[in-house]
Amino acid sequence: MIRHLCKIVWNRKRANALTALQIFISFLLVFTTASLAMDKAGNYWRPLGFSYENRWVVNFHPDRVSGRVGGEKPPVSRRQVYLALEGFDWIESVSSADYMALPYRLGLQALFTVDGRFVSIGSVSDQFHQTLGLDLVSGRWFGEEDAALDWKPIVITQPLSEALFGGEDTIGQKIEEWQGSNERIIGVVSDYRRLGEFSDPGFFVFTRQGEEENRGNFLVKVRPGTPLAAQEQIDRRLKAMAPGYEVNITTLADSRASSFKLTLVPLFALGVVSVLVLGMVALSLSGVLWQRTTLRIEEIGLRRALGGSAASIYAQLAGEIVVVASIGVIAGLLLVLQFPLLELLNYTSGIYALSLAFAALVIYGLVIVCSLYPGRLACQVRPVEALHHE
Amino acid sequence: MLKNYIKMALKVLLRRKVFTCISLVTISFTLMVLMVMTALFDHVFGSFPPETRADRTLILQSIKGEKLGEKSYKVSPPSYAFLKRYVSSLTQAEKVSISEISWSTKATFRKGEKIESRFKHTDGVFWEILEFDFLEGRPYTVQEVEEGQRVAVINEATRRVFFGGDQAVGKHIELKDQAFRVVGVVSNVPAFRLMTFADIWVPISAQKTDDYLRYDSVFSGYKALILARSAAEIPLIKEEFADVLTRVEYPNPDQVNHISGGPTTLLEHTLDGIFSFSMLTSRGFIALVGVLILLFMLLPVVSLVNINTTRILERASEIGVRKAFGGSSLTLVGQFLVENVILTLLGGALGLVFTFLVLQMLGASDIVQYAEFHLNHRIFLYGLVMTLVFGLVSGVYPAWKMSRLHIVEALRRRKQ
Amino acid sequence: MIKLESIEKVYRTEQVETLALSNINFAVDEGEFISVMGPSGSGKSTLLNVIGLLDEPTAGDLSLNGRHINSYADRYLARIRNEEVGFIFQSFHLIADLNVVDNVEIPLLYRRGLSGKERRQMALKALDRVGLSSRVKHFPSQLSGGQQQRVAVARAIVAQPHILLADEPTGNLDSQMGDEIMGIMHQLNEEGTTIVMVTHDQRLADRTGRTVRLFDGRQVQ
Repeated sequence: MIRHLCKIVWNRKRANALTALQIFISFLLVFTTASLAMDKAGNYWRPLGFSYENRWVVNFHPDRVSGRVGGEKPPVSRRQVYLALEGFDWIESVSSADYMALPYRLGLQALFTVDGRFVSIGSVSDQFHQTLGLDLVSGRWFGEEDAALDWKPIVITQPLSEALFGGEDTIGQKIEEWQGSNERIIGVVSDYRRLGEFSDPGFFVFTRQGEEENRGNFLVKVRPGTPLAAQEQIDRRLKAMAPGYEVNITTLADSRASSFKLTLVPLFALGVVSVLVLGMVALSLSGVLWQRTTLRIEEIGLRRALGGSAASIYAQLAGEIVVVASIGVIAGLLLVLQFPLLELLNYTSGIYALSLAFAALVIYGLVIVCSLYPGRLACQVRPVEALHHE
Repeated sequence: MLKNYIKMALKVLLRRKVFTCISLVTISFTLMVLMVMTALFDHVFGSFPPETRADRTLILQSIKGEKLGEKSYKVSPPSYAFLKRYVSSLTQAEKVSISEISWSTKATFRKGEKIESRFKHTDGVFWEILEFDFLEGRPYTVQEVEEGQRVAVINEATRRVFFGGDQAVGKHIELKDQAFRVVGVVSNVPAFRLMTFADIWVPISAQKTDDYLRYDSVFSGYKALILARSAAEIPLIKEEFADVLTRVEYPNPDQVNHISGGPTTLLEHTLDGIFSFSMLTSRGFIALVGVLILLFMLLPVVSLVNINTTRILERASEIGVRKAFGGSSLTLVGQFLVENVILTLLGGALGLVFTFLVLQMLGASDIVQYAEFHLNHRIFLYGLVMTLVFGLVSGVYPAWKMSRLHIVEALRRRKQ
Repeated sequence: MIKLESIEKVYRTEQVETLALSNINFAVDEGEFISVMGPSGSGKSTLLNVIGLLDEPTAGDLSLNGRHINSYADRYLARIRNEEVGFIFQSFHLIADLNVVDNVEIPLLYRRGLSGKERRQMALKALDRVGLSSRVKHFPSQLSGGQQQRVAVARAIVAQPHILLADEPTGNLDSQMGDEIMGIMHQLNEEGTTIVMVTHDQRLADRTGRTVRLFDGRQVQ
C-alpha cells in the first residue's frame, strides 16, 4: 500500500512539488523556533549559580560624563566604603567587583574562547561569593593571604572546568589557552550564569580584586523585606563621603526582570508569528487538498466500486499527503543535520533531537488535520454518483 | 480591456468563496507581518520627531584608537574636547552638536517609592539640529550652556510625576543636589531613539567639574551629531573628517597615536551594532535569525503560489473553452494576473487594518518606554508596493502554468 | 449466483420521489451471460448498481454467490465487492496518474495477504489475457479507447471475481473495438464467469444467453 501511495505521489510530482516545498520550509521554521525556545527553556531549569533576591548593586561614580559608569576610582578607599555600608544594620554583607563581573550586565570582557564560546573574566573581592551566594564545589575562595602570592589565583566555574579538564583534578591547574599569565586555579564554583536564567552554562574566570583596584561597584546583600526607600540612606551617606560624586543603586531583581523581557519578548513574538504562519500554511493546504479531492471524485468512486471502503479512501488521501510531507520533512532533516557539522548552532544533541522530533510531530499533525475535511468529503462520495459524474 | 478583466475577476472571486477566503487570510496576514516590520523599522530609523532630519544627520559616537605597532586597541566614545577640536570645526557641516552618549539615572524617593529619571547632558546646538515637540517653554540656548546655567528641559512624563501635569516652566527640579530651572517641556521620546532619548535634558556645563573641557584623552563618553546641508553632502563630511584625522594632536601619544573611524548615518551605525553584537552571541544565532526571516517571507509566497496553481487547475475546463473560442495565452495570463492583483489589493487593505490594530497593541503594551506607533504615508506606500510585488510574484508561476495548458487536455479535464 | 427478490429503489429528494426500480425479481445462474436492456431512464444502470452493491435498494432481498446481503455497512460491502464482483464502465474510468499495470493492480490492493510480487504477477497475467502485455508501462492517455477498455477489463478480472458487471462496455467504442471487447467477455464467460451486461444495442443483446428488459423501472420480460 505504501508503494502504491508513493507511486501516486511520484506520478503527480509536479502538483506535489509545491506542497513538499511548503512542508520543507514549515519544517525548518518549526525546528528553528522550537530549538530556540527549547534551548532557552533548557537553560531556564538549570541552576543559576547565584541568588538575585535582596541583592543591590551600588555604583559610586564622579558626576562627570564618561564612557562607563563606575569607570573611575572613588577618592575614598574600599575599606571606608565597606565600613559606611556595613554601618546599616539592614545590610548583611558587602563586596565589590568589576562592572562586567556583576550579574545581568550586558557586555563582554573576554579572555579566550573554549568550544567556540567566549570565556569572560572579572575581578571580585574576597567577600563576593558570600554576598552573591555562589556555591563553591571544590577548592577554596580568595582570601587575605592571596595578596602575598607571586602567582595569580583564579576561581572558575564547573562548566568551564569540565570543558577544559573534563571536570577532574582542576585545582592547581593552569589554563593553557590563557597564554602568558602566571595563574593557577584555586577553586571551582558550581556555575555562574552571569546573564541570567536563559543564558548558557557559565564560562567564567574570577580573579582577585586587590584592595587598591576597586572601581566603585559594590554588591550588597540586604535583609529580606528591606524597602527600596532605604536606598536613599546609602545615597546620602556615600555622597557625604565624596563631594562631586553620584550614587546609582539598582536591585538584581530589577535587572533580572529587564533581562527576562529582553529574552522573552522576541521569543514570544517569534512564537506568535510562527503559529500564525503555520495557520496560514494549514489553510492553504486544506484548500489545495480539498480542490484535489474534488478533481478526483471519479477515481474515488472507482476505488469504492473496486472494493475500497470509505475508511480506506480516507487512509489513502491522508497517506498521500503524509508521503508528500515526508519528502519535505526528510529534506529539512538532511539540511538541519548539516548545522552541527558547520558548527552553526551549539545546541546540545538532546535539544537537537527533541526539536527535530517536535517539528516532525507538528508537521505530520498539521497535514493530518488538513486532510480531515477533504477526507470526509471523499468518504461521503457515493460510488454511483462519482462514476456517473460525466 | 482592463475594466473587463476587473469585472470578470470580481465575478470569479465571488464564485469561489472558499478559495477567496483562504487567499485573503493568507495575503492579509503576510502583508500585516511585513507592514508591522516596516513600521517598526520606520519608527526606529525613519524621520520622526525629534529626529526629523535623520536623512542628513551623521553620528560620531565611537572611534578606534591604537598605538601603531602594538596589537591592542580600544574602541570607545570620544571625549568632549576631541569632538570640540576636530568635529565642531568641520567646514562642510551645517551644524555640529555634542552631547552625552547615553544618559545618567537619577533616583528620587517619594513616600517610599523610587522614581527613576534618565537625564542627558547636551549643548545648545542639540536643540537646533533636532526638532523636539515643545508643549511649553523653549529649549536652552547656546549662551545659557556657555554660562553654565542650571536649566533643564523635561519630558511630559516627568512633568506629570513631579508637577502633577501642571505648568512646569519656571519651576525648579532637583538634580545632582542642585536646583535646575525648567525652561521647556517636550513630548516623550521613545526609548528606542537612543540618540535623543531621556526624561530630562541639561546643559553639558552643568557638571560639578570642568574636567570635560581639558583635552587629556581622546576617549570619554560623548557623541557628535553632524547636520549636513543635504543628504548628498554626507560623503563630503566623511571625507573632510578622514582628512582631519591625519592632523590630530594626541594628548598622550605613548598610549594612542592613531585614530580611525568616522561619522556614520543612524542605519550604518545600527548595522555596526548588530555586527558587534554578533561577537557576543554565537555566529549561528545571527545566521539563524536571518534564516528565520527568510523563511517567514518565503512561506506565504509558496503557500499562495500553491493555492493559486490549484485554483487554475480547477478552472482548466474554463481555460480550455476560452482558448478554444479564441482567447490567446497572453490575454488569459493577463486576466489571471489582474485577478490575482485585485485579490492581493483586497488582502493588502485588510492587512493595513490588522497592522493598525497590532501597532496600537504594541504601543499599549509598553514593551518600549514611551513608544507609540502610527501608520503614516510612508508605511502605506511601502505596503502598497509590497502588496503589488506580492500579487505579481504569487501569480506569475500559476499564470505561466496556465498558458501552457493544452486545449484538448484542458477540455477533457472537465469530464473528470 | 445472483438472486433478486422484490427489489425496489426509490430516489427521494426534498420535493419529489422517483421510483427507479419496482418489484424486480430474477435470478442469474452460475455461468450465465445475460443482458439488461431498456430505453434511457428505464433503470438499467440503477439495477446494475444495486447488483454491484454500489447502491442500496430501498426494499427487497439480494444475494450474491450464496451470500445474502443483510447489511449495508460500508466495510462489509467493500469486501464483497472486492471478492465477488468486477466492474467494466462505459467510460473506462482509469486513473490517469497511474500506468497500466498499476491501474490493474488496484483491486488487489484492497485485498489482504498479497505481496507486491504476487500482485504484479496477477496483474500481468490479467493484461496478458486481454492482449496488452506490451503496454504495461504506458499511461492511459497514451492508449486508444479500445486499449483503455481492455485495461479496464483486465482490472475487472484481476481479482478473479465470480461476477462481472458491465455497463455499456462498448458504448464509447467503434464497432471493431467493441467486437474485440465482446470477444474477450464471451471468452471469460466460457471459462465460467457470470456476466451481467447493460446495453441498448439489440445486436449485442442477441449474443447473450438471455435478456432482461426494463421499462420505467419495471421488469417487462
